[in-house]
Amino acid sequence: MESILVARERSRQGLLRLDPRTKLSILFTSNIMVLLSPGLPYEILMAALILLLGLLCGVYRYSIKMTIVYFFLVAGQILGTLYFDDVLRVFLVTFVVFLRKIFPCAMLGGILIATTRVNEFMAAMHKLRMPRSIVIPLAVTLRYFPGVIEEWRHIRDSMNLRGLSTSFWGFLKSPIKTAEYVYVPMLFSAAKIADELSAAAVTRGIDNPKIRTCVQQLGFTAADGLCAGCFMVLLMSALWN
Amino acid sequence: MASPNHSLQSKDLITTGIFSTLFFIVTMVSGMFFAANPVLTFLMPIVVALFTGPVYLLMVAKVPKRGPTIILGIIMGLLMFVTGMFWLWSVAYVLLGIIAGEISAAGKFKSVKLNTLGFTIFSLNPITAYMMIWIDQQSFKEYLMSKGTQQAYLDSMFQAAQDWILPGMIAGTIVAALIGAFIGNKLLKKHFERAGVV
Repeated sequence: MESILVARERSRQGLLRLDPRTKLSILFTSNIMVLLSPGLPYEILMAALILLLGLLCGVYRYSIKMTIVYFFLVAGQILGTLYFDDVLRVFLVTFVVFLRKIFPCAMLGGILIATTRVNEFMAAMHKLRMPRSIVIPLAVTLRYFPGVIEEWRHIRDSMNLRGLSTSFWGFLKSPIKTAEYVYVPMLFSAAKIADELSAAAVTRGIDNPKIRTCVQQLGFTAADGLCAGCFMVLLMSALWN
Repeated sequence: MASPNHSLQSKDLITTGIFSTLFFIVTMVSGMFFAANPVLTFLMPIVVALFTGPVYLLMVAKVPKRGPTIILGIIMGLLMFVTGMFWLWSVAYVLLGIIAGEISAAGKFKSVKLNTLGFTIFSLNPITAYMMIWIDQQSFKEYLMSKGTQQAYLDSMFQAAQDWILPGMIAGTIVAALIGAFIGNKLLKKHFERAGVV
């Protein structure tokens, strides 16, 4: 998840700049593709397309890292199916397949989040006439993901400094204590961040009843059509089969 | 618009968003390990109910209004749908979010008992997906297969699904939710009310 943050800073260097609405439609198309997928080669093709999209959008490190993980998942599935006996196959291979199935969409989601700034997302949602009470929490939810991971690292560090175990075994030994040590700072910081973020948002005029404007001009370009088209063609080819 | 105390302010929406993230991550971290295994998967709702209690209760305490539980339900439903879960589960998230909000509203969001009851009912959301195993196994199987679940996974899952598991799962989830809410309420009293966060 850290790589998303890194990617976010570099996001403007990419060749492609897509409209957030195009991104949503691509994500939706991909979800349907996973649903309709005729088989493994198709999904590898799909992952390759997503990798290409990630690279074109300028999300280099994250895309390549995720592709390597995907490669190992596919390899794990193929080797596992060949060499494991039945019991192991049910428990391990199904787990790998489960991950592999949702992996391309997760990768795509990461790329899209990394290249979309919150104001663009809000403006696009506004254009789609989504109600405010859904858009704001959703934007905050997507934006706060890396924050939770970072928060968890801090908590783990300070627990280790005080000689408290953060391992799975340590959790089993004293579950309630460990849960309290993790939950209380986590919830405290969440509550604090919520207060600070709302103060910042109100200062920036989130409550302004006028029609929302955005410095970033939103509009569909040829690139949008091309990307959405590529994913559409792939989806159609699944339907054709 | 209703009076300002009842309608959702930007601050409430942002707080809800932050806690929805936490709720989703806690659900994933505690549930993923179980959900990926065809036999342990039946324990998933129980574990999730146990761990999400404090997050849910703090959210209700921070935003004592009708909206947050519904928004939480919608966001969870959306994220679950995007990650390829059974669609009825997403619907259940939203519906149970509405019901939980109404239950808490009956106690003006201050009643520990009613909030606990609301959370317990909200926690039953994964059951709706599992219920399909007993109600309409064939179409559920076809749906999961089309979503790419493996034949072997389904076979061992349906094999493990004895008749007593559904009531057991419901009872277990209720007990776990009560324990989770109990711990959550204790944490709220011990730390958050004293520090004035709530």
